[in-house]
Amino acid sequence: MTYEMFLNVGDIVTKVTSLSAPCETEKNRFKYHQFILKRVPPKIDIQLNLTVIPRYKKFKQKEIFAARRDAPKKRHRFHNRILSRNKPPDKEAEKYLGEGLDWRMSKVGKKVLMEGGTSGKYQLLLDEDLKKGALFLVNSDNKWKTTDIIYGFLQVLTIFYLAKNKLGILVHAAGLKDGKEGYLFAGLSRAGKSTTTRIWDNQPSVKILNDDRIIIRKFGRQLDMYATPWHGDYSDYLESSVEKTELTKLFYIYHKKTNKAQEVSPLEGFNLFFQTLFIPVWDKNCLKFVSNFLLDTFLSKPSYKFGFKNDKKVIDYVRSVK
Amino acid sequence: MNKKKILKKSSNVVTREIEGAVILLPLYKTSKEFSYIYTFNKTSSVAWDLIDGKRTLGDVKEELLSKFEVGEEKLEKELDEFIKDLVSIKAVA
Repeated sequence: MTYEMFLNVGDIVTKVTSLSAPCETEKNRFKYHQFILKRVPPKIDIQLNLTVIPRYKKFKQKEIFAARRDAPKKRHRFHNRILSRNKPPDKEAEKYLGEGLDWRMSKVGKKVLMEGGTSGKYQLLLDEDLKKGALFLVNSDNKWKTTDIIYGFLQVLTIFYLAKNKLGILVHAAGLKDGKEGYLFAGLSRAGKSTTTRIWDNQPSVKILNDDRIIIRKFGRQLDMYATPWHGDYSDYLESSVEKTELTKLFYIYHKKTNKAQEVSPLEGFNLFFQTLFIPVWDKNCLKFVSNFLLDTFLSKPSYKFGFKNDKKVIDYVRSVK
Repeated sequence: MNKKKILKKSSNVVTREIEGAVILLPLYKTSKEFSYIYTFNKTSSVAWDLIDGKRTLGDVKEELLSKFEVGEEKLEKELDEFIKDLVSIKAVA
């Protein structure tokens, strides 16, 4: 008897097959219900065979990227919050991965190996195209939870899969649907993404997608933004969040005493929004795709740098920005 | 500046031209190396284009002198600093 789970994030469906069902709370199941499909979907993008193992497996690997906890904190840098976490991995993980390491990406022959130790210990051995692989969750209890996948590795796998298959990007941003409009508020940490979400949440005609992570994909001339399960400081909207909407305006936000939005040139827009993207920086083709997508697709929408004041007046201001 | 030196661009960078300025994005092997993205001004964008694995730094300097109204001493100083930056981020070797 095998258990099957289908996760859908950004219209990328991941099928997880395991010998046992996940052990988790109803609360978590409900929190992420919109990303767990109830029926077998018509298409599957990534197939993973899950096994729980007591200790890390040893592979003959060649490291291609290592995410360290002591990454520099520079302002104008590639955004790397996804790539390094504050919480240190446990001793066993640290011993296996190496001191100061959160996770790493390696080559094992032609396969890709992702390994982590901070938010759940895992090893994910994938085919080169990232479409099929073996997932090992390291746990002496022989149990697993859906969050081991969602918070363990799915975010890094998603950014890599999106870029490698030229499908879209993951942005450090809040996103919402306001009637027929779709607004994206991108920004660095503490720029005001969760604050913005709090202001707009529960407004008539407004539905929140996410307060911290948004996937952008292109369909013909339309840009769609998708909800993700990776929320920021504010998560009250999660149970009622809308799955996707068309993107019509994008804002690079920061706190200010008065509301002021200024349209940006492609060069300024590139420099601002690039900082808010999650990028597989170890892969040249992915880096090329993300920078081209940012400039040629993402910034083709009206783009503004937006200093905003934390009160409800900002809603009318955003709606009036032309 | 070694005027006879020939520099070659690294294959571990991605560049993109926007509004006449070159943006350089390096690949990274660890998050510890994470650094800036580099936006070149007009002069350095032209200098970047001239680095082709064939021209010497002396050739690059001469071509820049013919394209921009700038004193030789000032240009050489700035080109020298630009090259040092490129070497330090392993964009050229």
